[in-house]
Amino acid sequence: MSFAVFCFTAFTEGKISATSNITGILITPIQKGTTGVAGFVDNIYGYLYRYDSLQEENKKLKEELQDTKNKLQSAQEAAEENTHLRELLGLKQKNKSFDLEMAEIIASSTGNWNTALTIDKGSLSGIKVNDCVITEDGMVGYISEVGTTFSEVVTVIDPTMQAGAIVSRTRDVAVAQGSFDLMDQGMLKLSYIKKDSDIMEGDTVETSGLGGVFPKGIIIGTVQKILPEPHGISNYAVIKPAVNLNKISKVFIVKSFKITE
Amino acid sequence: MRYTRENYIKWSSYSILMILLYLLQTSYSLGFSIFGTKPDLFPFFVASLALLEGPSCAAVLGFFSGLFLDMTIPGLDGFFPFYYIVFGIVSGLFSGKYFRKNILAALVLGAAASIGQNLLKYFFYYALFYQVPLITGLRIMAVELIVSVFFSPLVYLGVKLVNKHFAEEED
Repeated sequence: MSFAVFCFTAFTEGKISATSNITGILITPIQKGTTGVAGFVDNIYGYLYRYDSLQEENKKLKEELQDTKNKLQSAQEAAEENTHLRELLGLKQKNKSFDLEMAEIIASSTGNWNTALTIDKGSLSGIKVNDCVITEDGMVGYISEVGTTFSEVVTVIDPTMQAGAIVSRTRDVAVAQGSFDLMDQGMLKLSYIKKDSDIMEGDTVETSGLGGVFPKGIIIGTVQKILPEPHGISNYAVIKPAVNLNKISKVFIVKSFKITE
Repeated sequence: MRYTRENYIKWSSYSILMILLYLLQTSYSLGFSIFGTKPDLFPFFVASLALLEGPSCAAVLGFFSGLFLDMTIPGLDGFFPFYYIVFGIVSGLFSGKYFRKNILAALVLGAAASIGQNLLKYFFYYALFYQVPLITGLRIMAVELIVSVFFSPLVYLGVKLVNKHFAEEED
């Protein structure tokens, strides 16, 4: 039998022999399957092996990303601090007699009867009641209550706030005060304006320094409109605060200043 | 009151809820308000406690809530702790007899606390010292009440969750 197979194979030179062909036909699917399984196993092994290295790489990348984020945040904080220090320097250069303390706003008041802010500096930092609170743009308010490490700031639009004011252009003296009717619009009132006064929309209002409570020349806001008082004797102006009270994070407290009336 | 471990955890949970409420209300960066009107949720917190836990819990946590509020509202030192102690006791005793323990009762009690607190503030402080017209005062009170009632179910649910959890554990 084997001799017959040998002779059959010997006379089919150059072609795949019938026996090889039959064996091949039978074995190819098995080989294919085996190769497939081997490849699959190899893939799994490779995947598992690479998974570890990928995980490690991922971890490393995450660490690098976090590190970069931290650096970016530090840079942003430094830039922000730089801006505030420049403001402080600017304020100090403009008002050489001011003893300023920088503070951060940590909370706002609850309820709708007042608009007060809480700052992170108190008596430990030398803050006192009635100290004026400002930013580079103008007046924020004044200190109404002092704790050891925090203080309450009554803002310029609060109805309990009153400050001697002067209109920069006309030099008209008046009183800037908060009003319950204007508080929710974020405005305040400039009261006791003479009927014949030349005050116009857009005029700047600043502190007069009269009485010596607040320093002179701190911008309070700009005139939006002028209306007659209900009693008809004088006018009042609606003032838009120079400082956006909803968008400040750091303020300066004027701890002492030279009184110039 | 039994001084069990569960009680300590329950009181701590209420205290954390109170602090969260305070932080939410006073957060400067969050600016928690609707059209410029800030909700006052503490009356609803004390009312929910009075309804679900009784007068003693409402009075104690009301006192501390008042102390927190004193820190952020200038000119009214001592008013809030006193008001919330009295309100906690009265509403706790009253609701125990006449109210069912549900959200509607909490809203009614909370609204009563809010109105009472604002009327006292108005007549004994703002009208007296700042001559605020009644119509202006009423407008502030009404708008604040509406905004507060809108958020108050969240406060009730917070208190209810803690209350329910520990009531089940006691059973």
